Amino acid sequence: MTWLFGLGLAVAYAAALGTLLAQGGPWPGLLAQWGEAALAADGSVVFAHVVTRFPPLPYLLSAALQAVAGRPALPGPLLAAALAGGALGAGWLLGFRRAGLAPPAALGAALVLALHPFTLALVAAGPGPVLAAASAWWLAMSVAGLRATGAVGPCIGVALALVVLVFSDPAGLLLAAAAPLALLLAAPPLLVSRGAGGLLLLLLFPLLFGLAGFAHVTATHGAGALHALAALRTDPLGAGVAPSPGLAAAILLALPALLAMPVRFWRSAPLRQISAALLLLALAAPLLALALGAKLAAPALAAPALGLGVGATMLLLRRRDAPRLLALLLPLGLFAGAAAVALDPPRWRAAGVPAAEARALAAALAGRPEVLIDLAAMPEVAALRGGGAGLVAPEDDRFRLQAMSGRLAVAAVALRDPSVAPLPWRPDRVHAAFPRLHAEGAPGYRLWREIGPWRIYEKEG
Amino acid sequence: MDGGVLRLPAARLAAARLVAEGQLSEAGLAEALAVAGRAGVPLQDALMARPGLRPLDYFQALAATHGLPLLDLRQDPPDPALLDPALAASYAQQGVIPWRRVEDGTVIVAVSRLAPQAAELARSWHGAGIRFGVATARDISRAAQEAFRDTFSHRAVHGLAERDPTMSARQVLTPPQAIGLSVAGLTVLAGLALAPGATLLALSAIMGFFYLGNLLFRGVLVLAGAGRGWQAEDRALAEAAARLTEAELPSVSILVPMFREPEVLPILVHALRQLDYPAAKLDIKIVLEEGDAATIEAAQSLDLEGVFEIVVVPPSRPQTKPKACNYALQFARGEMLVVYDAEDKPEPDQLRKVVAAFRRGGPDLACVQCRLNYYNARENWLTRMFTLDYSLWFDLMLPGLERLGAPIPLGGTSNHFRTQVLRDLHAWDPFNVTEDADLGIRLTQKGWRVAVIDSTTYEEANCDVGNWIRQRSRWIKGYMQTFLVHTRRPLALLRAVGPLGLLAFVFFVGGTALSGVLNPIFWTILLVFALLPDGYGSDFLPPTLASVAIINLVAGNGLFIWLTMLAPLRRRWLDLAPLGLTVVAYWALMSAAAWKALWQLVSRPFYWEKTRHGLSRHVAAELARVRAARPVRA
Repeated sequence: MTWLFGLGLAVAYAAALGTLLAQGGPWPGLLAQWGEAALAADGSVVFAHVVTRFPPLPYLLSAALQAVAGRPALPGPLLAAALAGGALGAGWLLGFRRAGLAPPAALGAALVLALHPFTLALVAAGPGPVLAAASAWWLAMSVAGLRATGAVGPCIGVALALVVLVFSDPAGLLLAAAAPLALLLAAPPLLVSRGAGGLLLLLLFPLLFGLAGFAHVTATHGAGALHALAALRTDPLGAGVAPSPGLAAAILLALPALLAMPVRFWRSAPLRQISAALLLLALAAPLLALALGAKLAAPALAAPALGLGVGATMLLLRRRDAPRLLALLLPLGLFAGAAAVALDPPRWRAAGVPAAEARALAAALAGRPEVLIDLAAMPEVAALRGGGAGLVAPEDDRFRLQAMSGRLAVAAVALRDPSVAPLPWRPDRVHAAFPRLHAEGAPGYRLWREIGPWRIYEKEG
Repeated sequence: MDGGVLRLPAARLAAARLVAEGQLSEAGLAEALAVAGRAGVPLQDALMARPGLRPLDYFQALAATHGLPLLDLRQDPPDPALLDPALAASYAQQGVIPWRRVEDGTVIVAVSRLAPQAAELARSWHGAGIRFGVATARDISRAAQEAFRDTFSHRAVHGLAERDPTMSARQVLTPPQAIGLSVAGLTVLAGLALAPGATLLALSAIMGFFYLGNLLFRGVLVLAGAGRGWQAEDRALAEAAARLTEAELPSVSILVPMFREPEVLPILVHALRQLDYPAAKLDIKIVLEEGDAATIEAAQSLDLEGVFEIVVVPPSRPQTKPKACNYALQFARGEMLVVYDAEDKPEPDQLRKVVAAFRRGGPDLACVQCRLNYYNARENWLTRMFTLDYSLWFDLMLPGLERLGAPIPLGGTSNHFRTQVLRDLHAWDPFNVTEDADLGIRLTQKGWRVAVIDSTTYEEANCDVGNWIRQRSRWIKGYMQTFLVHTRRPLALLRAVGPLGLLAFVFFVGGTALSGVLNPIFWTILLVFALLPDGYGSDFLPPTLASVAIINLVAGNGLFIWLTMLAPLRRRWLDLAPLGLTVVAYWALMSAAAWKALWQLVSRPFYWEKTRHGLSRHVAAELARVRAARPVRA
């Protein structure tokens, strides 16, 4: 039943994403991810670019799916999101069964959560937020296990869940900032008394080492050691909207188990402390984003809270009256979530406007052979063209030779105004090789089109 | 003496005489009687287990109360003409040995126990024309050992090699292995001469995937070892052990091989006396080398209870711990057998837990490995790192191997066996310097199972770098020997342990030895690349290989550092976790040991690098504590 449920969900999510695609496309950032996945699947992207992408997990998952499936009907990131969403739903069903719910009740609860507006928004935002929600759920259950047993297994769970969370969703970085406090709050007092520093180190080491390793790799490949933090300034989903103060409140209302848990477990110190830790972690991302002015889309910020909220829901089942409580909390969360999304659509839904530039550029280049363009600077074009075929990339030996000789020898060249480059680690390498080309053109080439900051020069004659 | 006399409560009479002579208190006798009743053992065994009662006094009383001569077999050893080589081990195990034939043809048989079984045994050997004399159990065992020292010694050294030669490390490389290694070496050399780039790339690919496999495998092992359910299983085992009555407990032989370590002997004896197990069911053999006069003298001066026996191993090559154990095994009387090192302090309920584990584990369970750790963990950086190392090995990885059903290389000491299985397998390989690891693999190969249980033996962690490298080089050399022995028939190994078991063996035994040797090579390459302007030089490698190299470098090192940090969690020794950050320096020491091991595998394959014990400052404190706690009155 579990696998069937997961498969059914994945198909339903895929169908919904297909409709979304037909109605104007996904989040702009997702379009870029799609393009990058297509380029990676084509092999037309350099190694340095692959290893410096942040967050890396959704990108790698999308690229792997794109490579395996060839040219799937659904783009790699959306296919990855649908599959990850289906797997997450199946996991929730299994979790509810293990928590003691009867099969129909478990199915109902998992279905309500799978159709929760936040879940749907996450799936529409690509595999990153879905992975973040899954890892946050894992984190919640591991924190509870750590408190109950102090054993190695839950410690591994906490540490690895944090790694997956941070490398799936930039909001994970914000949650990780609050993790030390939350973990000290929830850990068994005996462990804390035996060595709080040691405990935190072993719980956070994989994350810290992973971030340090990533920083080293990005620094080595020219993207800068703090490349990961840049994702907080420029949302990978491309929302470009600062989080609203009401988001934290919306999260609490839409995931009421997070609030119900400390109330129900007030008399049990261990469970009360676990509840406080989950609440702290759930609110960390939206509140820190607000405080730091991080421009992250609502699905990215809500993803960890969703996973933690599901964890809280399952932990509530430890009480005998939990099924009745769940019958109240789940519909309440569903309606509150719907209201949150309906009241603040720009933060929850892809506006599609920022992709207009990419769409126009892709349309202009459609059918033209031998166009030199740095797709790493505008991967959306690759997505909209279905890959890098027909384009000459800076990785190409022909381009390297032309760059060395300083003479262009392609049918057309497209490059972006360097003064309005959107991402500091995505410098246009065509501009780097021909610094005066955008402003002055090149001998034998004439300006054919201007699309926003982009100029397309074509060979005369 | 006749059968009628033998039916009398011989030990009771002797005990009464001891009480009358003031050598045993009334309370002591009452206690011994109670022990005999509870544990279901003869009173003699209960008396022999009493600290403060000299075994010789008891046997004198036994002889006197029955009007039998007390034979001093040291002064007057048995007549070799009466001894049957086929019964050599039985003499020592049963405490019955023919001594002299007198003029009328009657054979005088020395017995250590006035029981009908002893008389029947003697009659089965020499017919009805026998008379008895009393001798101490130790004397009979020693006399048998003296009489057949060459036979026992030969069996101890060559028993496995002669009966199961493919399982013995006496031959370091078999001809097919030598040919295979030569062909591989020549292929690499030819490749380097003809196509150096491609050859280096191929080698790099093989090594890269080896490291990746090793990394993934150890991650899986720890996950399996830390998996759900262990705590419940540990609790259930502890409860089952506590429920066992003394009568249900089997007899246990404890072998303690020692060499030149008289200083730790009192600590060991004290620890063995603390075991929560009826001492009357113990058969403790302190196994010493004949040339080690200092330890022999120290052991004799301890005035040990009758359950202790000092077994002196005659000199022969190789002089290794497994040879000493094989030698002593021939005289072991216990249904179960365990090996402890000289500096060991097993947890008091360990033997009970082992019995419970054997009862729960089914008939194919041949060995139970207990965890090892250190009582001087916080002495210096090296002991801390060694503690992390052992915690990872015994608390996480070995349970992981057990859970995966893979062969388990036994670790050092505290491995408990069914004695008969051990004998059937020809016991330890004296040519293998990690005979325990080899035996663990051999047990699985032969269809037996090994379990790891939650009971710890605390040892003295090596606190001196030189001493540590000597010890570790022996271990790594032993792993190399074990790998070579068990890969002689790879298909047979695959059939016996399955694909997962084979993988586990390759990565856990082979990987442990190989990674220590390879690491310095890769560290050097990394350093060279780091000094180059292009950083890692990832452009030199194809993308797949570059990805593997980066995963190995970043994830691999990170994972191993993290696993080291996780290791002390089970024992709540979280203050040690941050030391995991320095594990790279520890790996460097391991590599030094690995290269030494490789060199010794070629130059002195059977040489036993002796680890010095008693260097820790904890030993002195422990000695003082132990001396203060010694019992004085029977």
